Amino acid sequence: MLAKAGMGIGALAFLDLNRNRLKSDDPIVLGKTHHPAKAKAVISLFMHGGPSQVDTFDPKPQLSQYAGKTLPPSFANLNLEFTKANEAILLPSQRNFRRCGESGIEMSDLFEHLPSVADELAVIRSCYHTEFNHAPALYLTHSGSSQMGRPSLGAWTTYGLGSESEELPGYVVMRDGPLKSGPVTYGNGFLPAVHSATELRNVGTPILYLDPPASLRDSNQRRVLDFSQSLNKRFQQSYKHDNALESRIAAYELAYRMQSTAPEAVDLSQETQQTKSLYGLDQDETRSFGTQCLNARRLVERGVRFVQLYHGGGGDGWDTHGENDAKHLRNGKQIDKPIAGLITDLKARGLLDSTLVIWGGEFGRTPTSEGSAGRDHNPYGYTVWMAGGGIRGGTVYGATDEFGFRAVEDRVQVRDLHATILHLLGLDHARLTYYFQGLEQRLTQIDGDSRVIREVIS
Amino acid sequence: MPPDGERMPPEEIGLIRAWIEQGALWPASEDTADPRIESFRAHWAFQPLMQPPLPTPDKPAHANWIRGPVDRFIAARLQSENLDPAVVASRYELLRRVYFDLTGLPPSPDKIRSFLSDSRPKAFADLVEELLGSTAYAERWARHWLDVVRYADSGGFETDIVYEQAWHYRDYVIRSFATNKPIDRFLMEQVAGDELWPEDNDTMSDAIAVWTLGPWPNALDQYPEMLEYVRRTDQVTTFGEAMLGLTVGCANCHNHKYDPISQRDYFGLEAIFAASETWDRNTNKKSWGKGERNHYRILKHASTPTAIRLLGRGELSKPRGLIAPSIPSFFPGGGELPSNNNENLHRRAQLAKWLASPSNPLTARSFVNRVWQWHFGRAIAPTPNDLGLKGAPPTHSELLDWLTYDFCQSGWDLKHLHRRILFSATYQQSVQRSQNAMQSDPENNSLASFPSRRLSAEEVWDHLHSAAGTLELDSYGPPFVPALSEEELLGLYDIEQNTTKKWPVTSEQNRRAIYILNRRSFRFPFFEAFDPPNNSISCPTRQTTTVPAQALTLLNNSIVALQADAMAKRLLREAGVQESSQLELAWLLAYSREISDEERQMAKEFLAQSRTSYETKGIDDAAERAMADLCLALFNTSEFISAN
Repeated sequence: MLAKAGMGIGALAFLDLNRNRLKSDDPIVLGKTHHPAKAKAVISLFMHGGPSQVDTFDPKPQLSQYAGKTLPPSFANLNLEFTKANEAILLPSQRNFRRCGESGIEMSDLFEHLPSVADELAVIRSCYHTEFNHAPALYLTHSGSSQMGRPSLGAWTTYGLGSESEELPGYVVMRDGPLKSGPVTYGNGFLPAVHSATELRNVGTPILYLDPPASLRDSNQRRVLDFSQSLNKRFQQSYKHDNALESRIAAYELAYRMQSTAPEAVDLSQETQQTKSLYGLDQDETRSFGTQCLNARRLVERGVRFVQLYHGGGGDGWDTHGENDAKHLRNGKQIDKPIAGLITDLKARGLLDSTLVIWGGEFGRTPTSEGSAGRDHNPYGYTVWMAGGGIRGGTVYGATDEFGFRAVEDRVQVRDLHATILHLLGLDHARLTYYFQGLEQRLTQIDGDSRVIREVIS
Repeated sequence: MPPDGERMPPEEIGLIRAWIEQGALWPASEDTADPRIESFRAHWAFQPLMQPPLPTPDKPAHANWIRGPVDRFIAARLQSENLDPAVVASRYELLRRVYFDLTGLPPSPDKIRSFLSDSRPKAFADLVEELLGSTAYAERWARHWLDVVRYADSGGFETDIVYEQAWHYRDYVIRSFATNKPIDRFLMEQVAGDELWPEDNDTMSDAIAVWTLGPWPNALDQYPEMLEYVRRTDQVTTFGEAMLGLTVGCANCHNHKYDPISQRDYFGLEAIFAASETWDRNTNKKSWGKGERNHYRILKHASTPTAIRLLGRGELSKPRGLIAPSIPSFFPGGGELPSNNNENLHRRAQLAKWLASPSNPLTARSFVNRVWQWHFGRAIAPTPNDLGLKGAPPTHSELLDWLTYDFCQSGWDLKHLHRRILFSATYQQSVQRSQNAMQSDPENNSLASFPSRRLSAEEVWDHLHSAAGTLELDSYGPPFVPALSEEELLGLYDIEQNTTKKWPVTSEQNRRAIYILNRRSFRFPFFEAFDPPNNSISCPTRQTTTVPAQALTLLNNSIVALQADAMAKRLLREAGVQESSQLELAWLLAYSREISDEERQMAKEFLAQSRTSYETKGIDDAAERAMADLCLALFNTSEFISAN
């Protein structure tokens, strides 16, 4: 009986092979790498709203001499959401930057703890695209397309590699509030539903519908399930050709086990006080994101392939149209210790080598001001950093112009980032394809070149 | 060779030599003839429509099985592959199958009893006519079409504003199926009803609303040129996939890599749509204002149509030459639209007439191919949005042509096509597969049995409420909004953090699933586990995956628990005090069949245990609670969500 232990979600998908193929060579999971992988798992730390590069990882001391001046006319053709690039005045950062670690990577004083892991980071200062509204930019940075409804990076990853977990979903999302672009942002698009993200929630049960509703409190769920499974087995005996019946029996057992394994995976009472304070769980500002980060480590330990965290959901988050500096101080405080703790902890447990950590948002912010103290959206030049899983730590790659507005040196498109992430996972972005709408679709799209950024790979 | 600099490496010279030897195919620019023209002309889907002769399989096992023309094609292939057709489905199976297929609902216990006792030869035919005449039929079949045209009630992206006109379009589609509107007329109305039949203004403005409900980033409206371009791209892409069965949208950035659609053809179609603009009827503006949550979008003729230029790589920043409104030139009747004084007001009308003209074989082929999929779960050409050269080839191309020709002869009469299919021996086969068929044709391409089918998300919802006796069959009207728990609402973003504005729960709770508010940026959580359609891109085929989230939803969603409770009360109320008769009714409601002796025994044991357990805990209504447990268990079975 396949329902016995050992039924991972990837295996379930294999059972489902004959159900849904449009073309006989379309598998539901590829389940193999194209080349040896450097990373087995990904933890993506997404800063929802768009953090400002010139206040975090891309120092522009020259800005102070331009304070109050407008940009040169060559910037006039850049579209922005609320401001005009040729009218807005330059706003220097109020942050102080310093060199950190042996590598001397520059970070602003927004970060007090992150400098301790500076030598693990490869900071890419030259990311760019052209979507200056949140939702299209969120779709683009997740799925490679600014249109709604395309599969996200996490879904492509489990499609390519399957899951290593027997008991937990392969692609897990945690967030502190809803995204401006909705749950479809981290969806599976046209990929089969086995690649959909499972949200681990911070309110109620960790997974939606994990526990019976209050009205069924006195019902014996195991008895109900045993009865339905006995009917399922009879039905399956009558229709032996139908693979879905067998996988549904297994899915029910897996769902039942998840009712205990999912809470266990996020049961932080098993962690020491020392670990908890490493992530900042003992402080109000850092507890929320620290919990997400600590859970992320626990999930990766349990074989989850892709953990997507969001900071800044719900309210304005990193979307600092006003009070840019104050809000960056608030946000920086909330993520600084948890992220430093995560990288430190992953390293101490020997997991950092095989776990790729990614930090970034849907775009950066303008070096010019919106109102007196805000910054507008800026997709034309922004920073993303990566650490762990095959990354050459202590690297700074690419550069923006003297204002920190446009990426000018070693420019990196979203599809280059995606190609690099897949490469580290052992996947060739050009060969990770799925047939839909008349094409072998891929995360990096088919109408342009993508480049693995070898300069940040160890 | 370049006059100076390094010589080309020999391997690159070799590559170019090999390319020349292979015919030096060069991706055509917008101004040169495509060298692939011969392969386009030979492609099956572009052939003129002719009625193929009916095959006459001669082996008795096949010849004697045939009931109608469909079966001749199926039997011919089965015979050539040395496969026998499956046995005929039982009356119970057939009844449940045709009910879900045509109406998306199970048969009532009364209907099961009367059909089973009706031994007249035309009992099935009468049943089919009855179902085809029902509103439930129109609702079920409208849902299929809504998938294809990426229907939703809101615009998606950050604003996700509700489109108040959307449900009028949904109702227009339901009414069209209810009245058996000829499909050519149905398609023409959607493309250009306002231009072709202006006297019927109300209906036609609902029909053309299909172009007003796309997923558009409305917050982009400070850059109207970009927003208009996003809209036209959505319109042309949806038109191509939904109505032609071709991935026209691929030619937005470059000539189509596989099909005879050049970038010039693509922008020619954009130029047709560019004569129309989307306005908000509430504010009488084209734009979106900050904080607006609702729009009533209408399609209007532009006073001056946007001049369309071919765009390099599909980018607005790379405009090339002007493009006249035109129909893809490869196809008969293609080319630039005739220009005259008021041509702006008739661009879509020209497109609609071409779409439904007898010289264009794609439209009817595409639609008939979809209808086959909606009956059998898989289309004859299994990629129904892509009948082009890269699409999957048809498993029975002559059958598709025969049915398409017959469909056109019938006046694009959908119900005629349904009857051709439903009365075939092919449709009435059992789902049971022979060992031989499983080995030699594991994917059942030859249709040596009826393909098993899991219910869709909407059918699961409708079946739960139907079994519980709570389903409200009020048709048409504004969408309703089921109550959601705080946990279910966690994914909903609202700029004012006011979720009740975006999810305004209605007093109606138990209507059919097609009427549930269908937002783009926040989809109804109950549906998520059951492979709902992607409502941002034309969805040609529902997937049917098996994931643990389905089990969690059916075990633990509070709406499911409510239905289990209601069904238990119904059983106790309607089936008398005898436990056996309660169980008989339960099986009819859940599985549309009689309970077996063994199942009755198992169920009685389950009820006894469950009752005892409640009684031990001192809980009132132990019998009713035990029955609710049983109903919940039935909801969580494969058979409940199957329409074999």
